[in-house]
Amino acid sequence: MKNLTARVLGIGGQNSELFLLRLLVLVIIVFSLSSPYFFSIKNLSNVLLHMSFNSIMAYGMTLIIISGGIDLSVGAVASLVGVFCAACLDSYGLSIPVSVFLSVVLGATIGLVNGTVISGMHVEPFVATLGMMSICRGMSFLVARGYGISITDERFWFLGGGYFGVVPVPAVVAIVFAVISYILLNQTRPGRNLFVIGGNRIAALTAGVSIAKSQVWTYVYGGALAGVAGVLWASRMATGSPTIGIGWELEVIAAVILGGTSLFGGRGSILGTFLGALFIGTVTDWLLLMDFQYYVQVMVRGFLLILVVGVSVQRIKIRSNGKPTTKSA
Amino acid sequence: MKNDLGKAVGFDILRVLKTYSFLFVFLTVILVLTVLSPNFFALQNFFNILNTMSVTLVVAMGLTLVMTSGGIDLSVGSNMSLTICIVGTLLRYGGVPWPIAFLVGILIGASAGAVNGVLIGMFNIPPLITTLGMLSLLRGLASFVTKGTTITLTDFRPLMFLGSGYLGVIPFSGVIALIIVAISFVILAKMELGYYIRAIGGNESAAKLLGINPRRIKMYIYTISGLFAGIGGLMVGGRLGSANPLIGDGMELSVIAAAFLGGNRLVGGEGKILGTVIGALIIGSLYSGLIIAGVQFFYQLVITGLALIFAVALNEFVARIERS
Repeated sequence: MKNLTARVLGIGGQNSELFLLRLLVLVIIVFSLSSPYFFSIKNLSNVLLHMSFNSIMAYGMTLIIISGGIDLSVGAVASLVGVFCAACLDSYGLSIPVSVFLSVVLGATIGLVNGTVISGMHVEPFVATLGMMSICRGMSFLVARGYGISITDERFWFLGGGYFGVVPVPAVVAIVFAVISYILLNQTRPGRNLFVIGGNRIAALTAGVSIAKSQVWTYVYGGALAGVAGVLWASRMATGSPTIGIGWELEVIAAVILGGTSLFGGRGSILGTFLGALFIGTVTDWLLLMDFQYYVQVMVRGFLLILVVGVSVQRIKIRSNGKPTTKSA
Repeated sequence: MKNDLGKAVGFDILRVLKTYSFLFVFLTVILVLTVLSPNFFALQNFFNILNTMSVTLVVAMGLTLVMTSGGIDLSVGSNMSLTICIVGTLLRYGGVPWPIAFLVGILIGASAGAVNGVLIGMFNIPPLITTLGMLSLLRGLASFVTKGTTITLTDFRPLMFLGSGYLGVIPFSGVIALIIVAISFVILAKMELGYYIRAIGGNESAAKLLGINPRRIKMYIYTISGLFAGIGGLMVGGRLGSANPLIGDGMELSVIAAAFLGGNRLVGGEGKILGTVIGALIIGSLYSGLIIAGVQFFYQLVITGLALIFAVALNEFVARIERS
C-alpha cells in the first residue's frame, strides 16, 4: 500500500535534489501560466538577486549543519559586518578593497569565536550562536550608535546593486561561493570528513578525524560568508544598518533543510541548498508579483516549508520500508 | 531536591556547582547590579522584575516541557500574537463578553500548539522546522485577523487587570506566572506525564519499548506549550492595552535563552522548571538593573549574550570535571 502511494505520487526512490528539482519545475510552469510577467528576463534576474543574499549564507550553513552544528548568529553577523564596513568606508575613509577585506575577516573572526566556544568549551551550538547573535546585534547598534551609517561612495554600490548584463552582481558572487563551497565539501578530504563527523561521531573519532578542528573551520567559513552577505546588503542599501538581518537565520536554515540537508547532520548537499534557496526565492517572487498581501506571503512560506519537509520525511520513511530513519528531536 | 540538599551539606562542591551553577550566575548578576546601583536591591524593584518577566516566565514553562522531551518550539511568539489579535477582535468588534473571549483565545493558543504536536508526533517532521513554519503561518494569520492594524484595548478592564493590575503591591501577572510555574512543576516532577516526557527526551526508542506512546505525549506537550503561549498573549495584550500582529516578535529567543540559562539542554531528558524561573529572572534582572544603572540597551544585548554563553559553558565545564 505504501509502495503504491509512493509510485502514484512519484516520490519514492529518487534523491532529494531530483525531487526538489521536479517540484521547482512544476512550480515555475504553474507560475508562468498564472502571470505573463513571471517568465521574463527581468523577473528571473530579480529572483536571482533576491535569493543571492540568503543563499550565500546558506552555503556556509550547509557545511555547519552537515557536521552536526547550527549557526543562529548569521543574521546578526551580517548586520554587524555591514555596519562595520560602512564605518570603515565612511568614518575611517579606508579604500573599498581594504574595507571589504576587513569586513569579511571580521565575519570569519566571529565564526572563529563561535567555533572555539562550541568545540573548545563544549557549549551546544544552538546556545553558543544564540548568545553570539545577541552580542553581535548589540555591537552592531554600538558601532552604528543606534542609527544607520550611510555609505556615500557610489563605486561601492556596484557590489550589491550592479549588473553584469542582466545578471545582478550579488548573484554572480553567490554562484562563485556555491562552486567554492561545493569543491570544499565534496572534493577535499576535510570537507568529506564533515559528513562522517555529522553522521557518526564515534566512527569519525575512530578514523582519526580531528573533530574539533573541522568544526571550528565550518563556523569560520559560515561567519565569513555571513560577512560577505552583510557587505553586499550594505552596498545594496547604501547603508550599514543595525536593524537588518533579524530573522535571516531562520530563512537560511529553511533553505538548507528544504534542500534535503538533515538537521541531525551527516547528509546534505550544496546543490540541494541552491535549489532550496531558489525554491523559496521563486515562491516569494511570485507572491510579490501577484500582489498578494503581506500576510498571505508569510503564511504561504510557512506552509510550504512544513509541506515540503513533511513530504521528504515521508519519502525517506517509504524508502526505508516504514522504518523511521530520523530521530525526531 | 532533598537529596541534593543532603549532598550539599556534605560539601560536595562539584555537585552543588553543577546543580546550581545558574544560581551562581544569578547571584553574581544581582551582586554586580546592586553595586552598580543601590536602587536595584529594593522590594519594589523585585516586583517590577516579576511583572516584566511574567510573560516570559509563562511562555518559558511550556518551552521547558518541550525541551525536556527533546524538542523545541519557535512558534510561541506568533502564537501569542494570534491569540491576542483574535481576542482583541472579539472584544472590540464582536461585542463578546470577556470570559468567552478569553476562553476562545486560550483555546486558539492550545489548538495552534496541537497542530505542532500533530505534525511533529504523527508526521515526524523535525520540531525546529515545524515550529519555524508555524511561526510564519500564525504570524500571517494574526495579520489577517487584524488586517495589519492595531486594536486598542485599554477600555477592557479585565484584560488590563490581567496584564497590568495589582493585588495590593503584588502584580497580578506575576501571580499568574507563579501559578503556571507551579502547574508545570507538578506536571514534570509529580505526574506520570512528566515521567513520560523525560523518558522520550532521554531515549525515545527505549521509551517506546516501555510501552510509552511518544506520539501522544508529543501532542500533549506542544498543546500545553501553545496553551501557555495563548495565556502569555492575553497578558501581553493586557500590558500593552492593544493587540497587533507584531506582538511577541522575537519572543521565542528570549524564552529559549531563559530555559538555557536555567540549565536546560536541547538534548532533553531532564527538565529544570526552577532553573528556567531563575533563567528568566537573570534576564529580567539584567534588563531592569542595567536600565536603572543607565546603561544603553545595546550593552544589554551584549551582556545578555555573554551571560548566556558563560552560564552554559560553566555548566558544561563542571559536568565534564565531574565525569572525569
